[in-house]
Amino acid sequence: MALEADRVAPRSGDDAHGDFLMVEDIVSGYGRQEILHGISLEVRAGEIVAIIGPNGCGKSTFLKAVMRFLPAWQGSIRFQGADLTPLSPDKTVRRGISFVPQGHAVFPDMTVDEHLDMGAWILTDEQKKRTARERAYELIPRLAERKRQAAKTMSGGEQQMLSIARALMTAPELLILDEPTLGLSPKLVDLTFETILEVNRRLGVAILMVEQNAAVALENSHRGYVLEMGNNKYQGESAELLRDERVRRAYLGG
Amino acid sequence: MDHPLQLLANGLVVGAIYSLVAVGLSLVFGVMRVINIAHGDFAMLGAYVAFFAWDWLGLSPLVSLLPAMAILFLFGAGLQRLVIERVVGRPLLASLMLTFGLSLIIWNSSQVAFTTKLRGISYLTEPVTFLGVTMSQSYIVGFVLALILTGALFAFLKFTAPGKAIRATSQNQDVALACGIDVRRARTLAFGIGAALAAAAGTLISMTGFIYPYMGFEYLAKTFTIVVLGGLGSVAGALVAAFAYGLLESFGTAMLSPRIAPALPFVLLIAIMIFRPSGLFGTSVADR
Amino acid sequence: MCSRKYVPSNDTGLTRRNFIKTTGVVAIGTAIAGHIPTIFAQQKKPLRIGASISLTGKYARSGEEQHKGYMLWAKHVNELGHSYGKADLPNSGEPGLLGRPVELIVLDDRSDPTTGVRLYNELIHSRQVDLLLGPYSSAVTNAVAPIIENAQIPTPNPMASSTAIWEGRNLQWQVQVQPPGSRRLPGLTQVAMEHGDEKIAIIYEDSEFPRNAAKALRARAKEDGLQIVLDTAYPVKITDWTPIVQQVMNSGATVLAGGGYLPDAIGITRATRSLGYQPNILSLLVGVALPDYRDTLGKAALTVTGDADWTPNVNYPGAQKYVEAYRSEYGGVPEYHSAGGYGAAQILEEAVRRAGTVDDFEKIRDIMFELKTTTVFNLYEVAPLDSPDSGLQLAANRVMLQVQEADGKLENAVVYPDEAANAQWIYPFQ
Repeated sequence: MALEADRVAPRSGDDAHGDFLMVEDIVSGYGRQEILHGISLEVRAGEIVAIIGPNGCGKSTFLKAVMRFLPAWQGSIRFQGADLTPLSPDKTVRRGISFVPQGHAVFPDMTVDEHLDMGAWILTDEQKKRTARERAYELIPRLAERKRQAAKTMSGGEQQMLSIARALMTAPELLILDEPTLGLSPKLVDLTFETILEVNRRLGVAILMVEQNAAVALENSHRGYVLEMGNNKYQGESAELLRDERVRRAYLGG
Repeated sequence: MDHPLQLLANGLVVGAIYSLVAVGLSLVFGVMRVINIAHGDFAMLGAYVAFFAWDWLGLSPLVSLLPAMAILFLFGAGLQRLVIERVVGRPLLASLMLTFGLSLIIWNSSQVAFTTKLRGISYLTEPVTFLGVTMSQSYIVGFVLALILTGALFAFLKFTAPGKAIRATSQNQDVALACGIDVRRARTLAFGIGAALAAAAGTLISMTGFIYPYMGFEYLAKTFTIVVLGGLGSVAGALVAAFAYGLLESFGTAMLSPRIAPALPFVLLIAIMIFRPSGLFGTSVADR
Repeated sequence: MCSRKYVPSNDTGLTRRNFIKTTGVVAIGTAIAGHIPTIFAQQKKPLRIGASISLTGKYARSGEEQHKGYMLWAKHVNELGHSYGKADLPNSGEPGLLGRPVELIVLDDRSDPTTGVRLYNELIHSRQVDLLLGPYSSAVTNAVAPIIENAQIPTPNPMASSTAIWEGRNLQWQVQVQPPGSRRLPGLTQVAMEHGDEKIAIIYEDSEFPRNAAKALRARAKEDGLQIVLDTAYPVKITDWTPIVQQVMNSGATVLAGGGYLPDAIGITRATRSLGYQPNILSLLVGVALPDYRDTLGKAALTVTGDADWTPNVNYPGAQKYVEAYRSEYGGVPEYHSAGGYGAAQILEEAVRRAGTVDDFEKIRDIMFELKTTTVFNLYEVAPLDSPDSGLQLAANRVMLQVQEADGKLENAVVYPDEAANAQWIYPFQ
């Protein structure tokens, strides 16, 4: 895919450092096995940030640590000035961060409507729920045609759209996506990124995503981070990373 | 085949009682991927609550059903929070060993507390005849209650917020977490509900059969087959498979032989494993 | 014979097997050791008598009663120097057996014959007990018989009524104490014939003892001219008897006989009542004799018949004192499993006292096979060593009981044979 610099909208938020998502020196893992050896990362308001790196470098683990699905053994996670480190996952969601887990991230036996209902779990105001639902169907009209269809009967691309729509129900300020294009055909990869960009442009939602397709990820983001073996390797403006010889050779196939 | 209606009725009654144990076992597996070997023991404990309420206080088992369920709900929820929660997400063998150990503890201490004496409640034993089907009132009452309770469970899961949280956790834990659902609470609740339903089954068994400290294992063996038949983690599947199991026992005994009848569910199980490995209603675990 | 020095088995590793044992069994072992009174001077080495009994699993209820019989016997021998009714034997009076305190080593076979085999091997080879007593149930006894024959240890078996264990096998080391299964449900076919019943259904659990009981019933039914309209075994692991009783109903039988153990008796009675089935005779193995049967079923148990090897009003020497001792030790009235356990241990006691040794197994064995005696449980005489059925019980008798109501209470009346009866057989079944 050719570089299309105009795909990504200019950042909508201010450029102030450190007051949106600020992750510092995170160490975490599964059981006793340490996977992240101290990773730092920042997302600014309204920005799209991509994390790339080889398989097994800890990209998904890092997102789970940010979402508080995994405990942080060291380091801190701050969001909009508040310390998330001691919070449980359900509390993190209430702070305005939504998460789309990797692959088939749906409830197989629930309908589209039920998914949106579950997405609005933390909302108590019925009016807000209705508005959020309308906004979701407007953003992804394809789902509106299948309100009563069970997720397991839908295609992989539709499930991915559903998962994003579900995550947007709480009107988050930051959307975290784990491998949103995993297993999708090239056509659906394009469609998915269009949706992600649309979410960022129209709703002003900041995006942090992990992508195995490094080129596409950098083409569709403002800034990028390259992880290797659970450590930060490179970081910078996506356009610069795309031009960087070392990144090209290692992750972009030339 | 003589008396097909009678065979049908017998199968349905037994199936309804199996279903009370099976839906809970399946629910618990769905929510926490734990095969609870001690699940049958909850039925045993519930049965003893009902028995002693009858023996000491003269309470009808239809009345003591509710306290029996409440007590086992608290017992199950407490056990989950204190012990079982620690093996959630660990390999299946860890939870198998843990719940197997718990089962032995419950079983042995029950034997000390209640003795091995077989007991039962003689209540509503008079038979009634309807459409050529004869059945004691306790069986009929047991059948109706079992249907009401499973119906209540389905309504709870479908329409209430905690029920939806349980279903969501069962279907995809990561997404449930991402929705802001307290999955730990959902697990504790599901475990408590499973224990309460098993207790209800135990209460009904104390009326229609007899009870003893190690009865749990015999019901576990049957309900485990039922749960695999229905698809591990599928509550609707467990319900359908429980009735299928009851009917196979009933018709198999009459049409083939009592020796062959117990093998029929396993024949069905093998057939289903070949043609539909995830069970009647199962979503393949690999898909999740 | 290898040295009888005690080798402690390694029970500390938490393997799965040991986990099962430690939770159930070790506790029992220590409880029994506590029974040895302080009269014994330190220098007397305990006489260790081993057995496995079904303390959990399907036969737990009956096995526990047999265990109580063993324990009570050990207690009496240790405290009085003899068991009840055996005060006049040679070498009695001094506390213990030949002066040595009796220590029971009882393990739990979980009602499983395979486990029983493993446990008897363990008792003989790793725990190296001095003497043995039999397990509970025909199934376990049959399974462990070859082990005991190999080890050549004289063993009385209290609760194995199956004749197939002995018939034609020329066992050299084991005797049957219980009345054999061929004499099960006495009077059933005769009473049915007298009243003009023609059709009998026999249903039975598919395991050693009920199979043999059914075989004997079948032969007697044919002999007495009854038509067997249904003859079917059902598997051990069933919890609902309704489908089988339904089949009996459809067969047109007016006599229903069989079952297996206590659960079967309760289950078949429940199913019979639930289906509204009205045979003229409902006669069930084992369970009817037990108080649990009446307690569980209440009036649904009325007029059901069943047999007993023993009832608490029998007049064998020491029997009434035994009933008293049981009552004060455990509360309640003993039933035949505990009396059988006590009685079998008495056979071992008598053989050892008469032999005057615990080490000469052949001498003990010879006496055990030649003995004609009574215990608190029943008469005792077995087929001699040189006969094909050696060890088979020849003298013990059984009575027919019926649940009847007297003064508003349910009790077991003896209704057959006439010499033993204290009530009329109520016919038909109501």
